[in-house]
Amino acid sequence: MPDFFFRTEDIRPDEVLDYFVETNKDRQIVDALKNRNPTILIGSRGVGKSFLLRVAQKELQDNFESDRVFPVYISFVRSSLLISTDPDQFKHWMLARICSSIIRALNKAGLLGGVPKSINLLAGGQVSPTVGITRVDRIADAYENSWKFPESSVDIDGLPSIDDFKDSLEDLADTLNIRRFVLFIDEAAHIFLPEQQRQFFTLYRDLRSHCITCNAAVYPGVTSFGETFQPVHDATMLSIDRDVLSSDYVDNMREIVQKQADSSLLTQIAQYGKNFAILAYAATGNPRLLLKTLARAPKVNSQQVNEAIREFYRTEIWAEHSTLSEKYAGHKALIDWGRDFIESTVVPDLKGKNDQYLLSERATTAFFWIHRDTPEVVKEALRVLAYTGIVVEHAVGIKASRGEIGKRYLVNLGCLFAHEVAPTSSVFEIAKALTPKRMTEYGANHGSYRPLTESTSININQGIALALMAQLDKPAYVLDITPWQKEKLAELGLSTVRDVLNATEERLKEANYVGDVRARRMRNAAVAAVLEYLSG
Amino acid sequence: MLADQEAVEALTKSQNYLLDYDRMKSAITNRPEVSVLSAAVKEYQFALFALAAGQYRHAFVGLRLFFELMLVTIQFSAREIDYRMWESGTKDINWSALKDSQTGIFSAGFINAFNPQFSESSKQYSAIAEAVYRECSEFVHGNAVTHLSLPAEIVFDRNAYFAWHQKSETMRVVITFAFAARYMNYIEVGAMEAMEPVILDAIGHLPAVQAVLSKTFEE
Repeated sequence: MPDFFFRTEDIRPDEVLDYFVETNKDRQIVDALKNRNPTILIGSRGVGKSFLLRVAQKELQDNFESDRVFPVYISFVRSSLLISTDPDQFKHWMLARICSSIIRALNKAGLLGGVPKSINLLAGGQVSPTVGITRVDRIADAYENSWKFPESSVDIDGLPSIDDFKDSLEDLADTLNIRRFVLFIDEAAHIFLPEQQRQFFTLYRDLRSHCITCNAAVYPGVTSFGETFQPVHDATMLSIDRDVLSSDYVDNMREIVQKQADSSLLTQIAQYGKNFAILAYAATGNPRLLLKTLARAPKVNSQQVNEAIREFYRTEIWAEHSTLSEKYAGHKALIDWGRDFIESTVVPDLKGKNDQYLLSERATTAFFWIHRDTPEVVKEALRVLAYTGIVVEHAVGIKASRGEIGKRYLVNLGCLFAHEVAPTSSVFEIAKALTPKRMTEYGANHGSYRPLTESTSININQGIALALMAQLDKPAYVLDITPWQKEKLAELGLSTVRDVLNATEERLKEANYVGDVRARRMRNAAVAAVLEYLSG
Repeated sequence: MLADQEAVEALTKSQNYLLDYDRMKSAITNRPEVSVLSAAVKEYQFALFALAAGQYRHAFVGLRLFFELMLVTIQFSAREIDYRMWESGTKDINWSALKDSQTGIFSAGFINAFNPQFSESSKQYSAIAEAVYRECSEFVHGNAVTHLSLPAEIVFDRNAYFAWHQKSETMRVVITFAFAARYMNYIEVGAMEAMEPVILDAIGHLPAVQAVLSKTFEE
């Protein structure tokens, strides 16, 4: 099985440009992330949000000497580990993590040689010329370790207020001749925790200053913006969907693979170009899905591609979606209904139409439309489907029959293809003839909504807390890591998610054939997988 | 190794590629750059010999040189002055120049000048060429990974052995593509007939190949 990088976290930040395949849309996004206006990047899992943040960061770093714009990358993925007694834990932790990341980035860039006084405020105490562990590092770490001692309280003495933080950055900018700090906040707001979303966007709004630009990457379902943040006024909202209808779509997806594949796989791709195109269309613009399915079909022949599409898009992509209902019990009815709606209503409708269209050589469809007055729970179910990449929000404010207004969605093409008997012999024609003009319409009171609207077990408005402890006790094989990594974890007796999270690099090095570099990479991959698993 | 039927078959297959390269040589026998192709084929034979003797690093090194010489044959066909300078020892072969996206043998300008129908696929084959060259270069430069993957003694190593054949096969595909793109429109019908099975076997799935071949034989 080819050893692809499925996550940006596994790629060294200074090598990120080596893997970058630039489309026009990507360039627009990277430029927007680099310029003065704050930007919010929206996209499903695996579409490349973290990657583009890293590209923008690297480009700013490379031009720092001339432009004096200083980038700082901050990931909030550890937010799912916060279980302290502090009601404002998320706000305090965010601020501590941001301060800590800025100090670390400045130190790494060699800008703290003289240690300016203003850094002390940011660090929550006196900073020595060697810049070791600061007070804000300890505060952030204490919150992140609160899952080990859930009833513990965290001492936030030394944490700056927002105003102190902004003043401190302004002073630092003057002292270090920095024109602007650009913060890239990844995994910014938890999809299932509206309260965290509100707190994040409030902080995001509060951080506005002439010397700070705050950018963030969020999932499509994030909609709780709080009272002060207004999406259009306070940030440019950009969606990162690769257009499957574009004429160079397959070429772009192939170039992404070319950056990582060996010569043998590239030769197979050249020989079975049509099969590769089918996998690329099935991924619906999501590079991670393409790499995962390609890893299962390294010969790219019809037999392997058919099996990969059937196994991945009929079973595995749904397994991830359905796991969410175990983690967020209040959403269970909604998540399960979403799956049933797509599998039993939308896909059969679309397939039936395409069978007819292909017979008469007409344009095909993978689009459906939902009336804007559809019940809120149905919209919420669709947001969860967009989060896992099962559907993509294609366009809003679309007129359908009788002039009614609604939102158009594209269903993941892999899920559509998986219902064909032999995808390689039929779906290429469907993919090539797609048009958004053909869409299946579901009105405001469509009959298929009834099981959901009549359900009494939905509880989406109370910010369902993640059952963290139960998730930590799950076996380690639930993690999305390579079979080799799983084997090594088993060899070491790290049998649960908790064991993996607790394991040190030293412990990982005890496995056969695991040295310093591999242990670091393996721990990074394992921890990234744990955090991704916990965050939903 | 002789008891391993699969290994014997792989060796026979790679040995038989020499017949394909002979046909390429025959097709351009009147051109000056044919001597470079001959030198390339000789290196391929040395590489095969090293492989059969369990000298894996040298087998990969020889394979890379063969690949570079085969592709530079095509570059020299368009720039005779470079060939003459190389022949007289005043110019080196340069891999970066060969794969240069603006002026190399897979660039749009080069392909369009000789056979525009191939331009749609040229980027893809350029990427394959670059990958297989890079993989062989690891053995040339003695990268750490090659010391781990090759046996310390002279013994048969299945992984290294089949990896070599895999790369040889990949190179044949890339060479056939570059050769067809450069010469297909300009060689005589007899030579074309001799080349047809080679081209069809390696890159017959390309619509450009099917179009050119059907046109050639209609005429």
